[in-house]
Amino acid sequence: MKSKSVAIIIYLLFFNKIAFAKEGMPQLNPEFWLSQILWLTIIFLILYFLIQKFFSPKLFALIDSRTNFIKSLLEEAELCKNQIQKLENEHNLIITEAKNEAKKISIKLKNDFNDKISLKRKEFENILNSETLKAEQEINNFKKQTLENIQNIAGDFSKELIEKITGVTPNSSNLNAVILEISNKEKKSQYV
Amino acid sequence: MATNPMQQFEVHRIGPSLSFNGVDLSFTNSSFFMLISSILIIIFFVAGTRRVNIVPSKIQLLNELVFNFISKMINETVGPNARPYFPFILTIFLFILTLNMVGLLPYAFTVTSQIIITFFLAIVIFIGVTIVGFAKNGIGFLKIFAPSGVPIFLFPIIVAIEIISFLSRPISLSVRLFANMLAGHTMLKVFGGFVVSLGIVGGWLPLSFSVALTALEILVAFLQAYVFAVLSCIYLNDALNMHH
Repeated sequence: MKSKSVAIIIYLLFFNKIAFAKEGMPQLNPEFWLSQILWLTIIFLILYFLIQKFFSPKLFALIDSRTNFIKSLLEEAELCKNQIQKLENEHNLIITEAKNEAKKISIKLKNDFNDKISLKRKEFENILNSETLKAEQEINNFKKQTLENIQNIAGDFSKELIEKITGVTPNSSNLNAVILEISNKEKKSQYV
Repeated sequence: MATNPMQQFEVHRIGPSLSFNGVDLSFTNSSFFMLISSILIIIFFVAGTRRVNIVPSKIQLLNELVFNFISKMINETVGPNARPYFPFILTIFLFILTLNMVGLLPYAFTVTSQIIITFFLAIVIFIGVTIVGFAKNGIGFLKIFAPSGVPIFLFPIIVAIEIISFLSRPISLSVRLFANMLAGHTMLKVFGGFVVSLGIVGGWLPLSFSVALTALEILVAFLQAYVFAVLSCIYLNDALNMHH
């Protein structure tokens, strides 16, 4: 279809141009063809010259300078990025070191604290033990003394009782021996 | 008002008659609109490149847009070795685009609807590309007619087809632009005539068609300029980077 229409146009242009021009295609009137070619050449060449000599180099230079500018900015940004990376690494290193140091201090403090605590505990236990011993000794003494008092009271009471009942004063040493024997028996029966 | 839709393509003399050896070289309406288009292009570039900055102004941005568009097109079709031909392709593209666009204005003349103009541009490109081809490749440029890997019995036919294809380049290049402009403007004129003849009652439909056609013609104007420039680049590519 396209080739057919092209063929028709070629035929009309080259083989039937005068007839067609008369019928209605003013483009095929060759009267001003050379004039148009001449003016086209002049105007096109002037335009081409201006674009090639002035506008094109200016725009090329501008685009190149912008490209270089952007390139330099990108390089600078890359440099900054590397510096930031370096600083970040240093920062991370410092943080890690600080953490380790803090850990060490914490462990040391913990150990010191534990040592102090155990020391204090030992001291406290010693005090407690000595106090306990003292208290036990006091209790024993008190017990002993109480027992003696009880035996004396029991002897005195028995003496008075026997005196009142029999009117005879018993021998104190015999009475005390009897009471001691009874109290020993009592003790034994309690432990059994 | 002219009723003949072809009347808009008539070339007539402007100003005094100028002839050389009996050949009329007068300044015509076609030449006038070529001049107007060129002045517009120059104004466009002067305004865009007067004060160039790294951060561009609007007009500078527009300049750079056109510049980069053509630069990219040439790089994609021909490659980086086509930089010396960049101003020529840029001039061709802008010249045809401006001629097409100016031709769409009411009462303006469409220079690219003249077959002699498009044919002359095409033949200049054809001859230029052929010269570049021979200058770059010497007699080896003739290999363009002999593709490699063709069976020997098909070789004469293929060579003949390639020669015809090569020689028809200026015709196809020029007729494509000419025919598109001619058809578009004729249609616009016909529909414009309908608007007038049908009057205020029935003229709305052809008017809306005219508006739509104008939009289409703006697209065609750009597209044809682009196609002309791209095909010029492709022909240049054949001359610079021979693949056969």
